[in-house]
Amino acid sequence: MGEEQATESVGRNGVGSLGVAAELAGEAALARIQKPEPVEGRGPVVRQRDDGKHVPGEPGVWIFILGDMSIFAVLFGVYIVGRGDAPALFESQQQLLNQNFGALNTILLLVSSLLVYSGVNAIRKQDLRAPLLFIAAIVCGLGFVVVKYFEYSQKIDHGLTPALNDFWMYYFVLTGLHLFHLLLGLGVLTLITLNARRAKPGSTRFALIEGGACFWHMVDFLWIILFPLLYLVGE
Amino acid sequence: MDLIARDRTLIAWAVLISATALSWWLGTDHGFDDPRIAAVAVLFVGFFKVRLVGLYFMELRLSPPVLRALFEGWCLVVCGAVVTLYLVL
Amino acid sequence: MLNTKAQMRMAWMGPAAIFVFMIALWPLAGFLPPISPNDSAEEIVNIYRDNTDGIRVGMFLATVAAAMMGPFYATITTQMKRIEGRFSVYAYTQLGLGMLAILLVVIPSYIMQGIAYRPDRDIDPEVIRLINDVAWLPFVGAFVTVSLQNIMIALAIFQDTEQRVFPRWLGYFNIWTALAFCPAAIEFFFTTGPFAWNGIFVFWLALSFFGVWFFVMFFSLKKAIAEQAIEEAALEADAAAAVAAKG
Repeated sequence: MGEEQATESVGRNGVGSLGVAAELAGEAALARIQKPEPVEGRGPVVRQRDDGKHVPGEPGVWIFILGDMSIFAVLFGVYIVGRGDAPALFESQQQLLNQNFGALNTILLLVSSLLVYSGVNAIRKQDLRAPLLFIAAIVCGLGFVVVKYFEYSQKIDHGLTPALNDFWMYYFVLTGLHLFHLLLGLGVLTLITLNARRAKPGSTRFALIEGGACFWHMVDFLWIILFPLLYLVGE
Repeated sequence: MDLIARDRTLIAWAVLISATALSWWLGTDHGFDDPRIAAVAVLFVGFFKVRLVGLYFMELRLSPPVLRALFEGWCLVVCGAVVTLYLVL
Repeated sequence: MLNTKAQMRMAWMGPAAIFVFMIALWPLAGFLPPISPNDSAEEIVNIYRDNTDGIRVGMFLATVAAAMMGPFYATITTQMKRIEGRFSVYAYTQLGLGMLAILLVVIPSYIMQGIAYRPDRDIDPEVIRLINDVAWLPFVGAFVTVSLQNIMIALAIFQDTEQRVFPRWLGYFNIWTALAFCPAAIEFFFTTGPFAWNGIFVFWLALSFFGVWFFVMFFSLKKAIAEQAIEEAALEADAAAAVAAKG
């Protein structure tokens, strides 16, 4: 309250007489020496590092990505422990999976990752065609969803549901959680597409795009582990 | 096509695609007589691929050492834990 | 100055709430580990019969602890309003969802009080098991309000590009915890294993994530309030100097 009125009066006096303004500035400087250090804030999001290294996105996004990676690490561990309880059951049920679906989805995600990487590079070069690359990556991601849809419906038609036994419980929970992340990733890619042309390298907007791209790559590599874990690792 | 990045990442991508084919082949009754060895091989290939995605697509090879170490540490620890649990249980 | 002191006192209600909640849940009610959804109806009746008073006191204290989270969530709102200013949609949404999260602990606690009220009922134990399910499913799995609350905190922090109130990583941290609570939704499908309500992936992960989220938020809040106090002292000094110069 008080300080607003005070700054206002300083402003008015400053316009009126230069001498008074100078005097006031001197007083304010004096006062500043006695008062506690003002809090400046932690500064802008994107900062140039001295060592020439570059944090993809911004440092904060890695709390999120590494955190999510650790949740999936727990999931992988829980699955392997669950598998150890009934290796014969898992082995027999695994035979019912179609490895071609899994392999096709791996390829789709790898292609989409290359497209996203190229898209980020295109933005760096301020190439206006960058959104096309992200749209192509979204198409690959949608392809993944379509393959999963066919795979799920085929399994459910054959009576292979999460309630059947532990293998199908893990299969649906693990792939379902991954699919949930992939759908979030598609949302992120859509936001990237919409912002690609307006992002200048080094800006906060560009940092968000880089961070979003890293999230997509994480969705990719989590599948790279889930595929062998669920489809390929036999007894 | 000139939009696709033509740098080391493209080479990494080609390795990733070949490794996927290799895993798929290893996992479908080829290669090793002992399925447990095939399983461990498939897991090693998988985590090696994760590392490639991190270093090249996420560009962690150009990032500060702490971040890179955290990522590679995750690969190492999770790979070790999964393979050990698989072999022990 | 007075205001930041009040905020600091309200923030400290948070750790007190967590302390009371742990006492209520662990030694009193004996719900750590939680009642298993895989227990037979008779086993569940016995749990309420053997520890009737423990569950009564414990579940009462759980409602006390839940209420004590109110001031803590309000302190988060106050600091969010420093970012957003007067028209603070994220801060209000966060406040509303926080208060709802309190209710989602209070209601299951009272349902369990209902079972413990007459532990010697002469009815089908299956009915008791049903009521126990009704209490435990939201007690562990009501994550939606918390997740959305965390997202609101994140959105407010992302507005603050100069990171004046909270550091930006705290925004990403909140997005992470928001996502980390989501797997709790699978508890509805399983009565045993890691994805049931007492499973590692639902109960233990949710409990540890809430703990981590709480303490990270608590220390960030304390820091933000301390910085606000310094900022206000500086502004007061400025104002006093200007008034003195004018006088």
